[in-house]
Amino acid sequence: MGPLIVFLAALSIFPLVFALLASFTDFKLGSSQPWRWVGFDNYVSLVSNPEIVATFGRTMTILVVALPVQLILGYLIAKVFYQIRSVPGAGLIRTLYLIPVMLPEIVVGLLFGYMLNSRIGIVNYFLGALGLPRVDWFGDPSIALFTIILMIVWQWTPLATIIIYGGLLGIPGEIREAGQIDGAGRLRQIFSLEIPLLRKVLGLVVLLVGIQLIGTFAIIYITTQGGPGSATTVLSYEIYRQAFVFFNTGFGSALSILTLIVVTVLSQLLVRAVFKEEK
Amino acid sequence: MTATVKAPAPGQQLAARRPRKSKEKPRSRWIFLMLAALIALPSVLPLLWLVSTSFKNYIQTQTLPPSLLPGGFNLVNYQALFNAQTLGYIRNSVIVTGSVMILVFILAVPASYALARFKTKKTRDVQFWIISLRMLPAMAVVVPTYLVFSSIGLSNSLISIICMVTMVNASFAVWLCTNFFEDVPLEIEEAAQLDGLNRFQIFIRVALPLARTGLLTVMGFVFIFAWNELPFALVLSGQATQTFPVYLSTFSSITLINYGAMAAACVIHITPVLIVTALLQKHLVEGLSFGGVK
Repeated sequence: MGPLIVFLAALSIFPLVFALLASFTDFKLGSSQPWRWVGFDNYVSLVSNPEIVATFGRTMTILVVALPVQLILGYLIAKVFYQIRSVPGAGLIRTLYLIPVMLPEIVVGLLFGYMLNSRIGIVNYFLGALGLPRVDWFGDPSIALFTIILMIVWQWTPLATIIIYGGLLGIPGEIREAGQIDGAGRLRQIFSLEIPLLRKVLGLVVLLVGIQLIGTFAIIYITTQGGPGSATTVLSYEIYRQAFVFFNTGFGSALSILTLIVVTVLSQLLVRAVFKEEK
Repeated sequence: MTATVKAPAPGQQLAARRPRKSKEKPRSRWIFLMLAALIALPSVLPLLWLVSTSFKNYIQTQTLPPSLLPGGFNLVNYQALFNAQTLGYIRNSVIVTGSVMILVFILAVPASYALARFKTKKTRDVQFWIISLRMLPAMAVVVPTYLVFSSIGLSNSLISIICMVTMVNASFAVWLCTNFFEDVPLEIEEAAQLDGLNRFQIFIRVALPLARTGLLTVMGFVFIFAWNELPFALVLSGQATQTFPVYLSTFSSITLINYGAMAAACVIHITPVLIVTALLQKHLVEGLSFGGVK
């Protein structure tokens, strides 16, 4: 166990210390000018710069829209797969359904970028053929973020599904039968039997999917590059832009540190609430 | 030693359990099967479109109405990829992925065994800390990492990419492998101990072979994650050390027009991913849920 801990500690503690120090400076990568300590200036401008605050807002929009959609869709689809869990051929269908999870986000972004192209994309072609209005998926600032969410939901709902499906399989048959004997209705069974029993599994989905959503980067990097305007500039993309496009390394570090703190606090709260007895 | 013998891993359970007394009629099963197929369709159709596009020539990708089939296997997009530069990207990706798999195996597997067999409050905390390293948004970790590697002059080398991708995957692997080692019945190890084997021998000759399927599953996932990795490779690679995903990301320009070439490159990238996914089919549930379904 020793080597692993040393390896992981070295790769997590050193960078963290470096970034923490850099976040209190006006350090610019590649710049020949000497850097200065600036105290909390970077952190102050994080919360006072409306552009950055809007970035947090967009990240939260993705979170509060995509997370419930993925949870509910994932749950419903998991129920369908549960119904056919022992039917021959169901395994293959399940695997096909899961393929998006295995793909790199770049491929998803490139592929959807083509399919949703407003001029020659196949989606708009079919919309037109059906007499529906064509949509400017990536060019319309009021739609672009929704398009990003659509791609995320397409790619990651299968992950939520499969975790919930695993949880459904883990509910002992006797408990279900007991519920049926008690004459609980279908809805009743779901809300007072199934969901409480799935608490940990659902907690895991919220944790994994939530962190995934807060970290949304590649799909935006590949499709909209934060645009049009700043309509899809989310937290991770802003970190990338500040640190590696504008070379505001100190500021980018502060943004990274703040993100890490927020994510760690949120996930710890969730872990404490859901997985408490385990400890 | 407080570890107890646990039920077999979920995947094995699914196969073995439930010759169930069905309350649903066969007909409703067919309806659900059709429904499932319908649900899987949106996952598959875009991929078919990608493959079809990769065989089209430039004109075909630009005209409306779109031709659903390429009308023949036009290999021009694939041939264009066979040049020293692209093969270099593939070589970089192979080096990164291979090294990450070896390192993860060396670092994570013995550690997982230790975590599975010596359970105390402290090891549980260590386990939690390890998994929490994976639970961070990659981009927020990338900036700090870049600062360290550039300060020691490694920012354009494959070594830095390999280190970071190993870190992310080792934490994932520890979490899963610990579960698999817990499934190895303690009685068998105790019997081996009576036969005079020491801890290390038991690990090599008893635990490793018994946990084989689980470990292979984990390595399959590590392959996919490392092969697909973008954020670290994007920031930590230089001209000569670009991995294939970084090369793919150069298609990202909003003015992208050569969709056929883009599709062919994507198909090349995802072919090994799909092969490994097919091999992992039976173990996808346990792998993707971080073993959290237990």
